[in-house]
Amino acid sequence: MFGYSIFVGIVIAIFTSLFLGVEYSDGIIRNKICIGHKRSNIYFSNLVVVILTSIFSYVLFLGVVCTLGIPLFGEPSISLFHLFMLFGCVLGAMIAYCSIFTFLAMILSSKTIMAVVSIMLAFGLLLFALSCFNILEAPPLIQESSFVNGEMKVESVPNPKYPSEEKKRVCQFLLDVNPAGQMFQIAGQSIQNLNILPFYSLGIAVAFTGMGLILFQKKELK
Amino acid sequence: MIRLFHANFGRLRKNKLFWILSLFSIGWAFIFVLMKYRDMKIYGNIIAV
Repeated sequence: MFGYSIFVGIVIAIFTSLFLGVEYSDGIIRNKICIGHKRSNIYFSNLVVVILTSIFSYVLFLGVVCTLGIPLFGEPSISLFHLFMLFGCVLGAMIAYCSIFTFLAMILSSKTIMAVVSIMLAFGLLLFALSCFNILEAPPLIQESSFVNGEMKVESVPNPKYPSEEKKRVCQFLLDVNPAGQMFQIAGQSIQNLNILPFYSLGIAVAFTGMGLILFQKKELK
Repeated sequence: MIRLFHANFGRLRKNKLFWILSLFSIGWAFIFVLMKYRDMKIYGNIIAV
């Protein structure tokens, strides 16, 4: 049910950059302002359309997975409450993604630059989350083999790359804040702070939307 | 605001990318379920959906 959530960032980045990219290139934003629409309304309407489209694509995915998956594999093994909490986290992370990419789409005028920056950012967030995840998943002991008198001896030794508690806390925080990290944790069902994740997503959404609104108000549209 | 939504949704409905995205979601869901089903048949384990 949550397998799609890892790729959703890339999908939203591609869709947002191509759908909202034509707003500048075709002069749609200029026309909207000319006929008297407020800039804040234009920004919010674009954000809402992107969010609803992302949710729609996820609902389609869920519909097919439930229709085929439940008869094949049976009902979900986790509790309904936990399942709804996970869906809430996915929704929050999707809104955070949408606000980041809408921010980029409304700030950058060039369609090509916007598409490249959005897709690179989506992959960057994904790779950053993966590296944080790898650090957190490092085992405390590793197997080391050596030859003693012609015999191979395997022994467990402490992992020199095992992170300290401080480093682990920082990595966990970065993983929780990053929407891609949240999706990784949801897909792997290895969430440490399930109750806090939606608040991080909300914070990202508010910060990027606020910043986007301020910059879009000041932007010169030529 | 309502007129803006109306215009945006009208543009969305005519946008090929939106329909490609929808098809991608459905296609990925099929692949995902089939992959899990194949794993279940090979390894015989019960997989939580």
